Amino acid sequence: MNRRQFLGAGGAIALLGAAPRPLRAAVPARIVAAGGAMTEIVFALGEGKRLVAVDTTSLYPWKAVEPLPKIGYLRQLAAEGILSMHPDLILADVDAGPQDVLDQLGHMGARLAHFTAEHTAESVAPKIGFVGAAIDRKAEAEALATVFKADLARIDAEVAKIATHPSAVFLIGVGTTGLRGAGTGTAAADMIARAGASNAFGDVGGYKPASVEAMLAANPDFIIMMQQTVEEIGGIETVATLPVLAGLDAAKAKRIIAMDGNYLLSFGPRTAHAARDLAVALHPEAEIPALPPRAWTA
Amino acid sequence: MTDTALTMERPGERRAALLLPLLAFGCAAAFVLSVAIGPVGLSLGEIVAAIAGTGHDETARNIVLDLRIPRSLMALAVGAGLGAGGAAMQGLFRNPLADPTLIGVSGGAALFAASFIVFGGAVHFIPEALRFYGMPGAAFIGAVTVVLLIKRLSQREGRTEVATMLLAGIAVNAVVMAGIGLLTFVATDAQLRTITFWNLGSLGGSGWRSALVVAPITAAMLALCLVSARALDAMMLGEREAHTLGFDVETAKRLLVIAVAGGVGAATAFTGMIVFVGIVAPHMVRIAIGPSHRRLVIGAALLGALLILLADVLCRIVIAPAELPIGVVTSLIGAPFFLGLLLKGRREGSVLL
Repeated sequence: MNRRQFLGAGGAIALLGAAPRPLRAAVPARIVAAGGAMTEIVFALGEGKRLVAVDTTSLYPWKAVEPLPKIGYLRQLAAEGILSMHPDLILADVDAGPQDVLDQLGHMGARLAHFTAEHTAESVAPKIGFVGAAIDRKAEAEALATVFKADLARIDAEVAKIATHPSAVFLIGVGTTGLRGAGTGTAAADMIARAGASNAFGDVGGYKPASVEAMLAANPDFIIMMQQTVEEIGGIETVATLPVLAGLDAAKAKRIIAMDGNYLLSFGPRTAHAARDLAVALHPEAEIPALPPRAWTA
Repeated sequence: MTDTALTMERPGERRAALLLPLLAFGCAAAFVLSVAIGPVGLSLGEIVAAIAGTGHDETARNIVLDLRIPRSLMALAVGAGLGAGGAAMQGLFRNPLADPTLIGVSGGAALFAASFIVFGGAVHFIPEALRFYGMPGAAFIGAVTVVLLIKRLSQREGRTEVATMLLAGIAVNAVVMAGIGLLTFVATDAQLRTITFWNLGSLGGSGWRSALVVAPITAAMLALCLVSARALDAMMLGEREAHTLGFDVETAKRLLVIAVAGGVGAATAFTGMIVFVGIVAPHMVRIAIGPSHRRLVIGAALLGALLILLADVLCRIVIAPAELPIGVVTSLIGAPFFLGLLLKGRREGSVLL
């Protein structure tokens, strides 16, 4: 190495040292998303190709998400695992954690964007804006949020026209150890209210065990369950004949609604469409026009 | 006189002279491995540069100095504490099934940790700088409180009755579990999941802040266990016999209970429940080198540390970039190995279990 090369190399090293830290790039090229809605919004904004890893609750759009490395469950993240993807942005939804790990990521100099509003349909538009700002796609995010808000307002208006208010219960768990229902303050309760029904399990907060007798007393008009749970049990017919449910009018009349859990409860850009589908199932007599298909619901 | 009375395993001594240095070497190697291996592929050169402070890669330096080294130190301390704690409890209760869980360490920590998860949001008087220590602090206080309660319950005329302590431990643990059950019922969905993951144990949140608390407490605990080791040897003959031999049995019991409550309590407080190591590490060492407690405590501490270090490396890399809970791995790799030793020992007519 001659002297000039030596100085050049030294200069290059000095420049590297002085350059702004690549982790702080304005337009992130390598994004890690923790939270299904975060992932959906990044795809809806047309930047899905920048995602380098997602958490295990990111299930949509399945074909694009499936091959990506998984950083685990969003409440149980691992700092070094995430850093091994060399992200320049970590998008985290409200449930992401544990806090220790988020703190570690913060100390490591990774850019962490943690959205902290609770899960409701109202939180979706701000969430879209939050992601748009974080990935430098503000205009696109504004457009997406505007369309989303209009779609949601249309469903709200249609639901408001319906005079009847059936009662419904969302059962997150149905098994030999009993029932677990969605009380107030849960994502499912928010969707039930959106779709113009009352929550038959609204006396308690959170997801709680429900006594079979109390369920009989409440006798909801509809039972809502996750598609996955219904399939595990063996289909709607089998669910309706389960001893813990068989006494309910909703089970006898097969008024059991099975919906994809991620679609119904993730509170991303598909939430307006999910609210419409749930409203149609809860009000079979009403004419609720379909929302136009959107790029992010296809 | 005590020396002649207590030299009962000459062959164990020779084997210990071989095994203990081997375990120590294994621990050191596992520590290096734990710093060298992780989901972020760093070369040995990069790691050395990061430690020496000559590297230019800030991310590599952060990963090595702020994640891997404190985490490895934590694994070392937690494993040593669990192993030594198990050895001390099995000696104290003269029961090979005893472990720190029995005197309420884990249950007390879990109850107070769950209480903090559920009600901690309402605690506003903790200054921001100390917030990090809120939950581990609560868990530590819980561990020590429940252990002292169980000890108090089993005292009669100034003596701690070990058999009563065992039964009181079972009863108090049942109450504690009921309390955790109630807390899981009033917990919100998010709190419930935090409690569940706490029960699975993880070193994922380890940093200097936690390692620098746990490591000195573990060192103090090991010292207390070693000080009481000869008394434990004597107590194998019976408490009265130990007393006749000139040992202050009550002081030894007190020291051991305090050491285990503090050491295992601190480890559990920061990492959650890590089962299996405390009960199995002392067994494995006893099978190899016999029941002399000074060697047993050291051996169990080393083996516990080795197990946790290796298990944690596996946790980090098996499903990277995600992580497995460490409790799953310690049981999965430890249990078959332990069973193998057990069956081999039985064939050879060992009566150590």
